[in-house]
Amino acid sequence: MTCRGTNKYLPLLAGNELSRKKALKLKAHLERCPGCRKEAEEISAALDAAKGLAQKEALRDWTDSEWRQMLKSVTAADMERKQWGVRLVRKPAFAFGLALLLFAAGALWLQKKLPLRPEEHGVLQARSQTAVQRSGESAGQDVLSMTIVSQETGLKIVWFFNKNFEWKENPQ
Amino acid sequence: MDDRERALVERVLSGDIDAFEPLITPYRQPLLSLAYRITRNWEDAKETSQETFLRAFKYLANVDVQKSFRNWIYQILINTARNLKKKQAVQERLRCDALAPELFVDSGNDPEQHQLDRELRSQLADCLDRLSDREREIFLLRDIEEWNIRETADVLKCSSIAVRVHLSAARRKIKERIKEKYPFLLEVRR
Repeated sequence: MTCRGTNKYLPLLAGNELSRKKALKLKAHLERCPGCRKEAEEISAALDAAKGLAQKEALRDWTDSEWRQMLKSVTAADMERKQWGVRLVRKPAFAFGLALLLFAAGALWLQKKLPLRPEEHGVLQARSQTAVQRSGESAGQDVLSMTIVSQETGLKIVWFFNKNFEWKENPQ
Repeated sequence: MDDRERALVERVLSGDIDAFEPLITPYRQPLLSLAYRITRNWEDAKETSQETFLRAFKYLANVDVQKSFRNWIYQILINTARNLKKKQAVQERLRCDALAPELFVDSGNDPEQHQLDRELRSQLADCLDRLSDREREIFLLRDIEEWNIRETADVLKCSSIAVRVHLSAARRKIKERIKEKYPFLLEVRR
């Protein structure tokens, strides 16, 4: 094994993270190579030193009051989350209710509008007005006449309608 | 996850909020310490730990009872710390707050001990500052917390090979720093 190849694995050797076979190869090289051996010793020593520093670094724990407060805030946040959860559950219900209301309003509007058929109603109104004008009578008349003339025979039929839409043919 | 943890998780999920405390108490100090070592700032460490517990509580229903609870909660901590660092651009503050005294046990009135503690913290902080975020996380989990490679990879969501590569780089950087700035630490151990 070369020095370069050995050097690459020295940090892992220091932490015993190599396979047994690889570790044996490296150790065999270290036996023969003082330069690599020195590097390996330095890495191991540095690793031990860093671990030692960390162990001596006595970090503080939460105080009991801090811990209680923290737990309380966690629980409180969860309660708040649950309340939001309830709101979220309610929201679709609210949306569904609103949609239902809108649908009902729309249905009512359609029911009111559809039987009248505004367009047809307008046409009828226009036709009746034309008929009124043609017959030379006032708009407030009680009787409406409709004349049908056959182009082939010249036969003429006049219908008279009263307010109740009851009709008479050629009453004269 | 052991039987005790599994039972506590089930209790919390069934609505017994009080069961959450015994579930997280074993991780109370370790998580705070690791959070400090990642963020190098007491306030950030507290915030990170608190957020970790909050998320653990919130997402407890997602935990896989077949897997390690410890790995799961440490994973949350690492992610929370990363997010916090991104958010606050802590890199600048690391230098200023590296010696935040509040997190450490009071050395009492002994000025010599106080000075010694301060130097100790300074040395470790200085070494850790040389590492990239990823290297620091891996070094802390593997060498300081003494997790194995597989667990470390699992928590950090990376491959074992990536852990080995970063670990090698981290150890080499720490060796270089100690050799350069604190050679007496190596002498003591020889």
